[in-house]
This record gives sequence, structure tokens and C-alpha cells, in this order.
Amino acid sequence: MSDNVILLVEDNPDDEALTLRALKKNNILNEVVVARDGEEALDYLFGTGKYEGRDTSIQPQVILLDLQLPKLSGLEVLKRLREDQRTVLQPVVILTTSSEETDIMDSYTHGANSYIRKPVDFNQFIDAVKQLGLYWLVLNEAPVRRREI
Amino acid sequence: MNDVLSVPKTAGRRHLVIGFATVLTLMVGVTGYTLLRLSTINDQLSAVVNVHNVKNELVADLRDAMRQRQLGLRDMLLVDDPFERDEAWQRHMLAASRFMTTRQKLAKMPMSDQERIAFDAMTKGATDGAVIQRKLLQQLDLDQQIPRRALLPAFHTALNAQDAAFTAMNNLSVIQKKAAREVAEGAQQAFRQTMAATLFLVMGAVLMGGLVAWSVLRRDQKMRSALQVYQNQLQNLVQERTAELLNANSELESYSYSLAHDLNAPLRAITSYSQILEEDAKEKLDPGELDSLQRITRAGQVMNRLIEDILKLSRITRSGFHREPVSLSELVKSQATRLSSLYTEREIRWQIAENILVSGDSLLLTLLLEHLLENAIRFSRDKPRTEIQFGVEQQDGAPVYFVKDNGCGFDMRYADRLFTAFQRLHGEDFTSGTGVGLAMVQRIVQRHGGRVWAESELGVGSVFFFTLPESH
Repeated sequence: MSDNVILLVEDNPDDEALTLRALKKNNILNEVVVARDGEEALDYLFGTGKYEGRDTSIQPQVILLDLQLPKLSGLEVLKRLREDQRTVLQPVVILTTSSEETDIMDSYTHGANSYIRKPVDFNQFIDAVKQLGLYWLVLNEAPVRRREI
Repeated sequence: MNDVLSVPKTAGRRHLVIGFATVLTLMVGVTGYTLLRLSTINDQLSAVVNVHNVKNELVADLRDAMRQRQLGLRDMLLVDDPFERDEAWQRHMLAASRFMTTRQKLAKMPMSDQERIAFDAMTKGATDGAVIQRKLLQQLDLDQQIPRRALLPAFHTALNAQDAAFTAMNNLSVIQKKAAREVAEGAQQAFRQTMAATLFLVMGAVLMGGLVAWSVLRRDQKMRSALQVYQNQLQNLVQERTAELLNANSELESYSYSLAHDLNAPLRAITSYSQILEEDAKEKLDPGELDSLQRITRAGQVMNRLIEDILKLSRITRSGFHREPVSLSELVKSQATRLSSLYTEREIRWQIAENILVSGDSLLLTLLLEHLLENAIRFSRDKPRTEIQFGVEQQDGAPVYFVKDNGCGFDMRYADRLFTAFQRLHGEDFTSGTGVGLAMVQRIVQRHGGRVWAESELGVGSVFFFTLPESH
């Protein structure tokens, strides 16, 4: 199970609850780790701070990353992930409110694997999460991780 | 910039023209004056010369006549041959009459007082001599045998009297010469004066012209530099204001952008949680309560569309502009395919003009046509068959593109409100738009430097026109 963790980086508790509910609705029962800002997300991924001592060889199957975050922005988190050998291949799905062309371009430039806008309508949101789960958790073959020696 | 600069240029030119006209007038005046003056002097001089010559001739004639008279009388006294003596008498009498006529001629000539005195002295000497000569001749007539030698003393007395006349004649000549010299000198002086005056006037004219030109140039220079200062100030002001305006505009844009974004999260919560509540508590709620909940959801969805449209509108203004050749015909065709598949339940007939090429931003133009064409479909949904035409026509020598439909049309009285954001001429349920579409259309056309307008007839259809200037 722990091998199939979903990391949700989301500062808005309403959106967090909505996402969790949408996942549940779609019977996606993977463990969901929630990071409430960019720093916390990096702590989890690199086993620092609050997550000191975590086995960083185990990384989430997919990261759902919001762009507007306190402390470190989503783009900043993405940049750090791509600079680090442990997370360079980590699938990252941007899940955000913004539909700005510049945000979309910046995200892909910094190595995002996918970009999804959060729909305001909950039924559409459930649908989006369903597609997302199906693709990234079932269909997509994750890269074989290089274990740390 | 050039228009502003051209104003003092013409003013300066006008001043220069006035200045040169003044100088020219002065020159013409001076030349006229000089010519007049010189011709007067010439006239005076020739008159003097003429009178002088005539008088000189007359005086010479008088002298000769008197000499002939004396010689005639002397020969009468010295010659014995009566024939020769008679001939001498005739010479004497002829010369006497010639003297008389010539003297009368000279008397009629204009003379100065001095000349008149000398003339009178000459007349007196001549008369005295003539009286003695006449007595002598009478004596000869009375006494034919009188020894001629005895008459010689009387003859000499007459010569003496006539010498006075000769002297007077010489005086007359001298006076005349002097008068002529004086006149000539006066003329010369007048000429010199005229020349000096002319030179002075010419110099004055040139000086004045120079002064005028200098003052005009100076004024021109002053005006120019003053204008330059104003222009710089104005340019700075425009730059400042433009910068301020751009700043304010971009602030406003980023404000509306972030506002729209910030509104999105709570709106999502409202909509989604009312949907969740509806799902979870469906059984417990009565129809009235359920209706209220659904109204919240719907209101949230409407608000969401509004926010989306505000973002779209601000994006058009903020996005970059890349001019390139664009085929409007191809854009309309691809939109027609897309919209036909979107509105499968409708019968739509497209009429698209071929090969309409423009220069513009293809993304913005796509958005523009998307809105115009979708509008055309939306507002003609009451018709059994929708007819949409895209084409181009020439108005005042410039191409005007148009999208024409056979829809419900609108009241031309409200035509000016069409392109204002969030203004709608139809009820919400009918169009299901937020009223941003045509505002976007206008912004896109304006970014291309063009103009958009519409004509319509209620129940017949609408035509939306727009222009896209070649270079903007």
C-alpha cells in the first residue's frame, strides 16, 4: 500500500476535502498524504523536517500539486523536484484553479507531467479525478526507481 | 511633431518676406529718386549749355559786326577809288544793320543782372561809336571834297567809344563763362550730393534689411528653442502619463486577475458542498429545501462563468501580440466544423468566402471568430434552419469583414450597448452567455487597430462587421 501513496499538496482545506471525497467517490483507496504548503511537500519527499527519517526510497506514485501555495509556490516545488535525482522522474500533476497560459507553460517547462484545472462543479471535479486516477494510478507505467545505495 | 514645428517656420518666413519687401521698396524708392534727380540736373545743365552757346555766338557775331563796321568806315577814309569806296560804305552799312539785329536777339536772351549791366555798357559804347560814325558820314556826304585824313581823329574817337563796347562784350563773355562754370559746378555738386544720398539710402536699406533679417531669424530661433522646450516638456509629460497609465492598467489587470482567482476557491467550495449536501441529504429534504439547495448550486455556476469571462477578457489585454499572415476563411471553416459537431441538433448552413487573407494575431482572431460564429448560432436557435455567412466587402476602399446570421436580431436602439462587457440585450436563459463575448470581440479588433459594429433587424437577423487595418 505504502508504495502507492498519493501526495496531495493543497493549502485550502475545502479543496483538500473535496479532492479526498472525489478520490473516495472514484474508489481510489490509495493512501493520501496531504502537504499544506510547498515546504511540507519537500519535507515529505526528501525526508526532512516533520518527515525526518522517512524512507525516501519510497516515493509517491503521483503528486497532485497546487500552484498557489504559501511559503514555496507550486512551481518552486516542481523546480526542486526536478533538480533532485530522487524525484527527477516523479510524476507530477498540476491541479490548480489557474487557466493562465503562462502558468500552464511554466508548469510544463519545469517538468510537469500533466496540468488539470479544478472545475467549480463538483460532478465535473469527480469526473476529472476519476480520469486522473485511472491514468496515473492504473494505466501509466511508472519509471523504475533507482534505489539509493 | 512635424506639424508643431512647421508653425514657427511659416511665421519666420512671413517675417522674412515682409522684411525683404520693405528693403526692396526702399531700393526702388531710392533708385526712382536718384533717376529723377539726375534727369533734373541733366535738363538744367543742357538748358544752361544751350543758352550759353547761343549767347556766345551772338556776342562773337556782335564783335565781328562792329569790327566790319569799323573796317568799312576806315576803308572809306583810306581808299581813293570811288567804286571801292562805295563798296566799303556798303560793308559798313551791312555790318551796322547786322549789329542791330544781333543786339536785339541778344537783348531777348535771359540774362543775369551782371550780364545785363555789361550788355547795357556794350550798347552804350556801340551807340556812342555809332553816333560819331554817323556824324562823320554826314560830313562826308555834305562835303565830298573834304580831305579824308582830316576826318581820322573823329574816326579814332569812334574807335575809342567802340573799344568800351568791346570791353563790355569781353566782360559779358567772362560773366557768361563764370555763370556757366557756376551752373556746371552746381550741377556737379548736386550730382555728388545725389550720389551721396543714394549711397546713404542704399546703405540704410541694406542695413535695415539686415536688421530685419537678423531680428526675424532671432525671433525664429527664440520661437524654435521655446517650442523645443515645450515639445520636450510635452514629450516627457506624455511619457510620464503613459507610464503611469500602463502601470495603473497593469495593476488593474493583475488585481482583477488575482481577484478572480481568489474568488474561485470559495466559489468552488459553495458549489461543490451544496452539491455534496444535495447528494447526501436528498432523502431528508423536502422539495422546497431541495430547490433552495439547487438554486445555490446554479447561482455558483453562473458566478463561475462570470469569473471565467472576466479572466478571458483580461487575458486578451495582457497577452502578447504576434502579427502574421492569417487566412480568415480557414479559421471560419475550422470553427464551422467545430460548432457543427457541438450543435448537432441544429441544421446550420454555412456560406464561407474563400481566400480571405489578413495580417494579425491568429490566436486572437480565432477567439474573435469563435465568439461571432457562436453568437450567430445561439441567437438563431428559434429558426428551423440557421444560415451563417462569412465574407468581405469594400467600404471606402478598405476591406470590411462580416458575419451574417438569420437569427432573432436586436433592436438597433441598443446597438451601442452591444460591445460593453456584461451588458446583454436578451434574458439569461435565452443566450446563456455572460455578456462578455462581444466585449472580447471588440478588444480583439481594437488590438488590431480596427473597428467593429453591427447592423440588425428584429426577427430577420444581424450582421457583425469588423475591420483589420493592414499595419497597426
